Amino acid sequence: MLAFKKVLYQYSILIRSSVGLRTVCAFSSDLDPIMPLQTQALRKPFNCFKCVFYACVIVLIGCDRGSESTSTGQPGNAATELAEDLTPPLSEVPGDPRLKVGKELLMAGRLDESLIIFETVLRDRPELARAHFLKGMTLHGRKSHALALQHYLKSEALNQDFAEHELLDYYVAWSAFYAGEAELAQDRVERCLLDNPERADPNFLAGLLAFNDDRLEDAEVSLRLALQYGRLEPEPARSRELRRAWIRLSDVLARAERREEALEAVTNAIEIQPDFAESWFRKASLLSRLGRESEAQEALVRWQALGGGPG
Amino acid sequence: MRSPFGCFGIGGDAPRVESLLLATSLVAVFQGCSEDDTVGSSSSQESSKPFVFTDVTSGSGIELETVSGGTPSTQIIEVKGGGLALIDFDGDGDRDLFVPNGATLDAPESGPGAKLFRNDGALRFTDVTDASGISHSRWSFGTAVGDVDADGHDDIFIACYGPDVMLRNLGDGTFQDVSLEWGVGDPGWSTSAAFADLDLDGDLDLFVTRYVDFDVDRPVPPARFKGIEVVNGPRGLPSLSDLFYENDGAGRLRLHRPGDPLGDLAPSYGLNVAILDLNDDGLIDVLVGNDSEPNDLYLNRSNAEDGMVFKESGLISGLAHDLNGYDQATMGMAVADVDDDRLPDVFSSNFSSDSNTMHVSSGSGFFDDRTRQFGLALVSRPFLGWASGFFDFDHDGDEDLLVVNGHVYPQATRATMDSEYEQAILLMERDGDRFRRIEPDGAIGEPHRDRSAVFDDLDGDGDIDLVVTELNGPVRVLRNDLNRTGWLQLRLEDARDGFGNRHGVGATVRLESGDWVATRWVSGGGPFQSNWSPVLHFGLPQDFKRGTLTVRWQDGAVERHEVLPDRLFTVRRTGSESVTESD
Repeated sequence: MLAFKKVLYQYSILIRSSVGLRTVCAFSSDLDPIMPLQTQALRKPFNCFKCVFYACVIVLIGCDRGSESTSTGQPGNAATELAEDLTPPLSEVPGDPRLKVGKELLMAGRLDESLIIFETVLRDRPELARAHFLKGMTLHGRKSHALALQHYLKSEALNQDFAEHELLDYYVAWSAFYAGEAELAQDRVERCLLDNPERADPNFLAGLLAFNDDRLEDAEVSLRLALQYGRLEPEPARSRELRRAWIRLSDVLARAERREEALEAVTNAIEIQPDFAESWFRKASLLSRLGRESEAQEALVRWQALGGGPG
Repeated sequence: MRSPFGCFGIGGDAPRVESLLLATSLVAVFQGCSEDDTVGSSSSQESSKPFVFTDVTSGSGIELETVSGGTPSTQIIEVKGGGLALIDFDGDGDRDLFVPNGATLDAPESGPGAKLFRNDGALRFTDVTDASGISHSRWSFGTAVGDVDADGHDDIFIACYGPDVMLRNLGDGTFQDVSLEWGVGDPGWSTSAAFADLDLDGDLDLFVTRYVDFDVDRPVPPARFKGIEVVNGPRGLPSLSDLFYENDGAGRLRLHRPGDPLGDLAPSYGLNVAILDLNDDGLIDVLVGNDSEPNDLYLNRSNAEDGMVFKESGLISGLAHDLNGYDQATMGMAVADVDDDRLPDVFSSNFSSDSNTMHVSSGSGFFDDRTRQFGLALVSRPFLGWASGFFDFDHDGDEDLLVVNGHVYPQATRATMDSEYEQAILLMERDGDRFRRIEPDGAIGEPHRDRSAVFDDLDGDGDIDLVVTELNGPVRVLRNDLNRTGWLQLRLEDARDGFGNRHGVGATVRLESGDWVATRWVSGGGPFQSNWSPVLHFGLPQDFKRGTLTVRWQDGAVERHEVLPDRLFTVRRTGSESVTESD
């Protein structure tokens, strides 16, 4: 039953990504501005769709700072499948053409303008799930994580179908993470990885959550998966994924007192992006603790030359 | 004046006094009550639910609404609030409460005035301000307590906007303003302060953190945060250098100027200070918590040959920044041995959407940000933290962590800034290798604009109560309703003639029983703009029957005492002897 539902859903996505069949989903007139990209990989349209969104969210969210709780992308258990099976089917609600404009502005980083549009839409149609989702993304980009989370959850509760619906877990996970709601973040990143285990970013988040839970082995596994799948990303997402995964892996290894390996990891991060200050700070710290004082000083000089972090 | 370092050799090559004074060979005076006499004590370890705090302000005699600027805050000086001080001003053995209080932008010299409350026991206090002769109404922030003139009575320092103030305890229940005579009237905006004997001559010196060079007559236009107009600063505003006053032993605190060992301190947004031996080399160091800037660590490198020498080592030590190399907005600071290696680890509370930070000593002078390891990171993101303290609130043998919180921006909501303006207390129970949040409930769960707190067993029942003060709000007395035995308290008293460091600031105390070890540091400074109680508190594991208390005084003298649970011990140092007393 579950497999059948998934096939149906993937098929519906495929239909929506197909130019020839756009009339099928005419109710959703605000077609996604990134839709042309989806046609590049019709064999796995769902994943390609996510890929672009993951890239966008990395830009919007930025890198991680701070955290708490896990996941290694294990397959779902029977209870999870049963829960999914009992989920009522998503209802189909007519879209709103203004959302397309708002989303274009959002993707262009014009957050204030997109927010105005989404709020306008929500004033008229407060029960439109997609408007909540997109407003959540906008707030996410503005680092108003708690409020973004509220809108994601509202969007989810409305149980409507819309183009980005399958990304809800992913966005809920990140916003919950930043809002300090570790358990929710953990729950959603696990669900996200069930559907999409071969994405770098959810694995990265799973690594952060494990690190915050001090489950070092889990953190290392997840971050190495993030590195593995990050290598498959197109640039510039690839470099960003790899750099931040190497950095966090360095933290995990340092915590595990594996300082030489940690140094190697952060050195990898520096090779990928030499002008990222955080990497040099970590390198200096590790070199100091390894007794390599002169090298540590050199790294500190580099760190300071790069601004010593944004503060 | 005794010559610096004349009493004891210090430093790596200098000989240290390692006098091992075994209590068994000394006079041990056990006076007063045993556990049966302690108020509220019980013979059962499991008699009550832990972590229940009751607001007993009403009826406590502390009915005081503090003032620190207007409401809502519009200038940065209006967001820090004021501190509290625990002081046994009347020498009756319990700690009384001093509240420096603040003022407003239009009348910074004429606030409602400082208050002194005498502790009458059972969490009842009497306002004795008038009788004490204290008449202080300048806008005040932090406060520190110490026997500056070594006359056996603790004096009060008040960090102010404007000239700081020194109140001398005359020993008869009254105080005299000696700011000018003792030389502490430096203008500027001071925040926190700490007394410690940094030059090891036996008397107390004074370290004062200072913040922004702010003029109430020149209000700063607002800034924007997350698209919202908010109070501006500290970034972008000029900062001030911290101050160090050396006690000359003749009734004057001499300000170190450029050229003096602590006279060239770089300007910073200083908010808190902790003075203790952070790198376990036997010398006390100075850690300054800065807002939105790297923290400063002045490592003590003093030695007999060069005299007083301090080296700023914040960056290389790891204490200046978080894991990522970012400056943080350090407000509260608290020290505990969270990884059981007998070395001091440093917790700091920070701004919202950042996490609090747990710097753990690695044993070689380095501190690593291990916030995540201890479960303190993600849980703290919604909070903007201030006063913090590690105490064993539930008497299970390990130290829990309490942080009072409240946002600086009145506009803050969870929706706009991921953080509310009024916030609950964050209470974290030590649970195995991690800390676990105690569900906010009762007095702990109420949202407030909290800023400072002091921790002490104020009702004499053995557990730790607290007094909290919030921005432009009431001082609150929160009683710990634990009602359990399994505690031990220790008061150090250096009663040698002429020694002003009577409470043993700089000492390290270790309590051992079998495999269980607990370490405490008698630190200068406090939770935030406040001071630590001079009485150390230990919660004990259930199987604790007796233990060995090892005291390493600041000068390196070491002594050991056998101790029993549920007692307050005083280790009094008199000349070559040390005496243990139990109340």
